[in-house]
Amino acid sequence: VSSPIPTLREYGEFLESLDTPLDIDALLAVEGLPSAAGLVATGTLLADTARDLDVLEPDDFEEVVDFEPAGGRRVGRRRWLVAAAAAVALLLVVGSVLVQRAGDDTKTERPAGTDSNPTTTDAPPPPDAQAVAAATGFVDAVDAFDADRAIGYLADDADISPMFRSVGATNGEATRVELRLLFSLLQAQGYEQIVDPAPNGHRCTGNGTSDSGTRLRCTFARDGRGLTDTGTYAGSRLWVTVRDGEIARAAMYFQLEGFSAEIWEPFADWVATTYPDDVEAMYTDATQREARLTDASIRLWERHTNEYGGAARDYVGQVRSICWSTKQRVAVEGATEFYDESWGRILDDALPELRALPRPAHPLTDPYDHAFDIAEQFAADMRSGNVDVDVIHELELIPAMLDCRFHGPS
Amino acid sequence: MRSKARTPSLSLATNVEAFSAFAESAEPRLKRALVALYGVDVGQEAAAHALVEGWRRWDRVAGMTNPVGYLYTIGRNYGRRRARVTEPRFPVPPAEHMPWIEPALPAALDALPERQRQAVLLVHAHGWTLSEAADVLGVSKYTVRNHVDRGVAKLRAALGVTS
Repeated sequence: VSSPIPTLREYGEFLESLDTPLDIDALLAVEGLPSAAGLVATGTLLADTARDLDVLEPDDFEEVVDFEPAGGRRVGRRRWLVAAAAAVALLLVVGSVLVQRAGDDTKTERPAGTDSNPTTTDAPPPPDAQAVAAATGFVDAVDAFDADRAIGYLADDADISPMFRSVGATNGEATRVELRLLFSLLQAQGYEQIVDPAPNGHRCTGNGTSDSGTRLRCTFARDGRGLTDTGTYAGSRLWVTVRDGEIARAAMYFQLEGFSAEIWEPFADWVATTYPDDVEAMYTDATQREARLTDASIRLWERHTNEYGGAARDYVGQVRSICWSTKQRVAVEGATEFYDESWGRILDDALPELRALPRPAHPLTDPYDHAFDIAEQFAADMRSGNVDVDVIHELELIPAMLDCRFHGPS
Repeated sequence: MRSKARTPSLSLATNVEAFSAFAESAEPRLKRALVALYGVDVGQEAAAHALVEGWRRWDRVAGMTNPVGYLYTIGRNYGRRRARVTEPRFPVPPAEHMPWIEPALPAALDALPERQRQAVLLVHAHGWTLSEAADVLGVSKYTVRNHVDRGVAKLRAALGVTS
C-alpha cells in the first residue's frame, strides 16, 4: 500500500534504524543493582542460576535485599550467591533478549550526533588509567561547577553539545563560553551535584572503545533544593569519550524522573504568571522548554529561584520527610514485601500528620489539594488487598510523595 | 522478619522465560508507539522504562489481557513527564545516506499534534493496521482512523502534496 505522504515509509525505516539497545548496566544502576558485567565475571552461569532457583527456599530471597555489589566482600554461602545472581540474572536475561533484537536493527550507520547512548552487552575491557583519570577529573570539575578546570580537560575539537540537551538549556554552538554559562545557570537554579559513586565503587567505569576513543560512564546525583526541597535525583550520568588523555566528547544525562513535573513545569508556570515580562529573557521561547544562556538570564534565574522556593520548599520538605519515615516503617514493620493490609495501616497512621501540615498558598503546593485523599484511597486499597495501579500513578505524580507509594518506580 | 509475599507464584526461572518471551514481542511495538509520540530519545527511554516496570510488576502484568497496552500507558506517562524538558525530536536523515527522503518531513511531523503524529507514523510509516495500533494505544480503531486522516491532511498541506 503506497503512503499518502511521499517518503514517509522510508522515514519510518530510518527511525527504526535509530533503535538503540537498552543500556542494561544503566538500568541496573538506577535499580541499585551492581553491573551485570561484574556478575558474569564471577563465573556464575545463568543456566545454573536458573536451575538452582527452583530449589531456593523462600527465605533465600530475604538475602537478595542485602547483597553487596560485585567486587565487594567475598560471599561464603553458595545460596546467597545464587540468590544474588538471580536478581541480576533476571534483568540480564531480559536485557540480552532486547539487546540482541536491537543490535540487529542498528547496523545502519547512525547520523552524526545521535550516538548519545552507547551500550555494550559484554563486559568491556577495563579502560586505561589515563582515560579514567581524565574522565574522573572532568566529572569532578563538573560537580564543582568549575568551568576552568573542566575546560582544561577538553580536546580542541571536543563536542560538548550533548551536555546542554538534557538540562533544558539551549545548546547554541556549545562553546566553552556557553559551558561557563551552563554551569552558572545550574548554580543559579540552585542545583548541587552530589557524588554518587557507581555500584562497584568507581566513579567512572569503562563503556567500551571506538575509533573516537575510550568511552566511560560516570555517575552523579543532582539535588534540586534550590527550587524546592524535592530531594535528590540519583542515577544521573555523564558519558565521556577520552582520546589521548583529553575529553573528545561529553554527554550529560540527568535522571529526570519526576523532575519535570515536580520542579520545571510549576516554576515555569509561576514565572509566566508572576513575571511574564521575564519569560523572554529567561527562556528561548514561549514554550519555556529551554533556558536561555545569557548573563541576564542567569541573573533572573537566580533571583526568581530564590523567591520561588520560600515557604513551599519547607512544606514539600516536610511531606517528603513524613513519607520517607513511613516508608522506613513499612520496611521494618510491614508483614509482607508487597502491598497488603499492614502497609495500608501504616499509611493510615501517617495521614493525620500529613493533613495537619500548614500549607502555604503557592503554586507548588497545588498538587496537595487532593494528595492526601489519594493517599487515603491507596491505604484503603492496600487494606482491602485490591490495589489500583491508577491510584499509585496518581500518587507518584505528586511532588515528594514518591515514598508514600512505597515501592516501584514512577 | 517479614515474609516474601512478593515472590512470584511460578518459579523464578519460569517467570524469566515468560517475561523474556513477552519482552521480545512487546519491545518493538512499545518502542514504535512511544517514539512516534515523543521522538527518538524520549520514546526509546520511555519504552525501556515501561519494560523495567513490566518486570517489576510481572506478577500482575502476566495475567493481563492487554499487557502491551498497559506498559504503553506506563511509558506514555513517563514520556509525558520528560517531554517538557527534552523536546520531541525527529531527526533529519543525513543526506548522504538517505537523500530520497523529503527533507521537510521531520519538521512537519514534529509540528503535528502528538496523537495525530503517532497514528500517522504507526500506520503509514511502520505499516501497522488500524487494529494493531488501536490495541496498543488502548483506543478504538475508529479513533486511530480519525487521527490518521487528520494528520495526513495536515502533513499533505504542510508539504504541499497535491497529487
